[in-house]
Amino acid sequence: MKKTTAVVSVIIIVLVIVALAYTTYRFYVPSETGPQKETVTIVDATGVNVEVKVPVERIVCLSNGLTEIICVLGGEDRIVGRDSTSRFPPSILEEPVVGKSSRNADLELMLELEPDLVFSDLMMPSELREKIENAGVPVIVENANDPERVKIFIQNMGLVIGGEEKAGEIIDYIESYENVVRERVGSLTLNEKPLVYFEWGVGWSCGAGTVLHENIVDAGGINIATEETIPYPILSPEYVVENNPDIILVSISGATGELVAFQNAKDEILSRSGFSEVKAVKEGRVYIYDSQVGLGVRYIVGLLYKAKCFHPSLFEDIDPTAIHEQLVQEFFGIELEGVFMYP
Amino acid sequence: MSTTSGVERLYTKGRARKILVILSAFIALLTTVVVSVSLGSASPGFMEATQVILSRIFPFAGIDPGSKIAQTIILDLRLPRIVLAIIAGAGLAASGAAMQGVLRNPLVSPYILGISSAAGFGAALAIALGIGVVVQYEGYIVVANAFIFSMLAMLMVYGIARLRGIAPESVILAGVAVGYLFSAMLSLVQYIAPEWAAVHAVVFWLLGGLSTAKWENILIVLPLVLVAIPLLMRHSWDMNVMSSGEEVAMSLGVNPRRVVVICMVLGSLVTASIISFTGVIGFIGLISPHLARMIIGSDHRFLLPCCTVIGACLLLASDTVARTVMPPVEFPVGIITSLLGVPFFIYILLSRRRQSWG
Repeated sequence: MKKTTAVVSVIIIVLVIVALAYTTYRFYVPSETGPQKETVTIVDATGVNVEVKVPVERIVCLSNGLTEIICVLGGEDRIVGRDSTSRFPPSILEEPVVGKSSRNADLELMLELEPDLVFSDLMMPSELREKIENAGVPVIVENANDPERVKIFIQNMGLVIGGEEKAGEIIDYIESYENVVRERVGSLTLNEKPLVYFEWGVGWSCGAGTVLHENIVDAGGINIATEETIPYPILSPEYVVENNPDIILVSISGATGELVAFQNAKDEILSRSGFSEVKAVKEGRVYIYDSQVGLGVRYIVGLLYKAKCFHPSLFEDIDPTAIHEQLVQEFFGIELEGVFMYP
Repeated sequence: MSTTSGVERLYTKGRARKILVILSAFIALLTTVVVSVSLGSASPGFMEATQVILSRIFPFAGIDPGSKIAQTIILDLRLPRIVLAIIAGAGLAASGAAMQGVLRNPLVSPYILGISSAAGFGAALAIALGIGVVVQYEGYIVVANAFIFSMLAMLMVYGIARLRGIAPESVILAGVAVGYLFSAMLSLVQYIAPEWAAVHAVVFWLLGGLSTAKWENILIVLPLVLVAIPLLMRHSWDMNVMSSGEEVAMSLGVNPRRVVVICMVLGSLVTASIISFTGVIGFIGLISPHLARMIIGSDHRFLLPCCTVIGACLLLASDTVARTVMPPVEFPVGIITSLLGVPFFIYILLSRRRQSWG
């Protein structure tokens, strides 16, 4: 009896060992014998040389603008985690959220998804970046607000996730409209350009040297905060009133495409003390846009919208909303829903 | 006979001096108003401002009202802001003085008692969960929410303190506890709210500011403050008596608990209505009563009016600096209040030998 028990025990132990060895073998072997990955080096927006083994299969993306670009290049099915601001295209909402934004993304949630690569915007704290990299996952930090960086990122992504041809197509598309704007506003004299007061967030404007400022200049406007050295100054209301801008341009974020969000933003501007005397208010030239069309691939839509607001007669033939719809249909393959610019 | 008249003379002399102090504080306030209305990022200075204001006061005197822009800047931007600064400074200072008086504690302020955190929480909640997910929203929902929650905080403090018997220390402890509760909930909202709402809640509500001043808002705050401050002053004798202890107060026919409740309610009401429009401006309510006490002594009949004027003056001066120190960029007023108030406070503290408390 005792002997039988001993034999059965030995057999069970042997079986367990064999099973363990087999499992280990099964999980271990593929990575050993799998195709050798090629390494590409990407210089990101922070100037860091990031070595990435391609092709990348599992991506965590912590920036809405970058998420859009990855999706346009056909990489949506490789995104396995996102931040809460990555909400476009809508199908991305199915992926798990690993943090509110790159500022406070959860390290454990991210690593649990076993990503090959993490994308982030400039808000990511350097300690967090270090921790992710120490876990063996490369991090690419990119600025989707800067049109020049967007183009570089699209090219880099062509290398990282494939689709270099598509990358070229998108860059051509963006540049063709950039050229349209440049040609039409390029020859304007200072007198022909409207004075613009820009506002976002809690009332920040944008000083010289910021991408937002460059955007206004590119669209043929003169920013009343051009002289400011603080990147995002809060301008004194009386300064705004005295400068009497022709245009008030407001970027809102967090809107979900409902018209009421834009109407409220506009009403708030109109109801400000003293603003009824401002030219932009008197002439009904207060414009609200969703910050989504100011970054990533769709930055071009925002640029066209601004140019049309500033110079309606020069851009009579351009309908930013129609171009937005076309862009989304062509590159994302979906129908655009909701409001992004008002009026 | 002669000693009585000596004491009387001394009393009258002291009284005259105190009235003089209040008058000088008032003159300082008026001077600050004149300076403030003449300064700004925009060009209108003292002459234009005077012209615009005089033409408005005497519409038939034939004074040239100045350019439309100058009128807008003076009448719609600088004046409402100045008036709101005065009301807010005065209201917060008076509430602080009354609360310190009835609770017999120099560390009390509406901020310590949780009322400000509650207002911040109410505002953040409205911003984060408000109608339509928008950055720029209809402000009144936020204001109403801030007000409701600060009243709720006050009720909680009162309720807890009442269960323990309304002693000054139980009110303060309850206030501190409630304050922490609302601070925690505010942090929670900031953490779970969308990024833009969190930013708005942090930057505007926790720093506070007067840049959104409008005549419409002033019409809501002003009546409340105008009614509440005299009501608080009516109890200044009771506060004097209470400083000698509860038993003494009762033997002199003052019901200390009733006075505590009345002053706390009035103070909270004033604070809540002010910070609903300005965001949390914390420092004024704490420091003005101390400044006043060091200058004029702790007789609440003089302390309250003096403190009210000092508070108004301090906030107006701070706001004027905040909007003119680096034109056209505006600074958060809270930073300037502390930068101006603390050195002044230390100076007064060191230059007066008199013990303000005890």
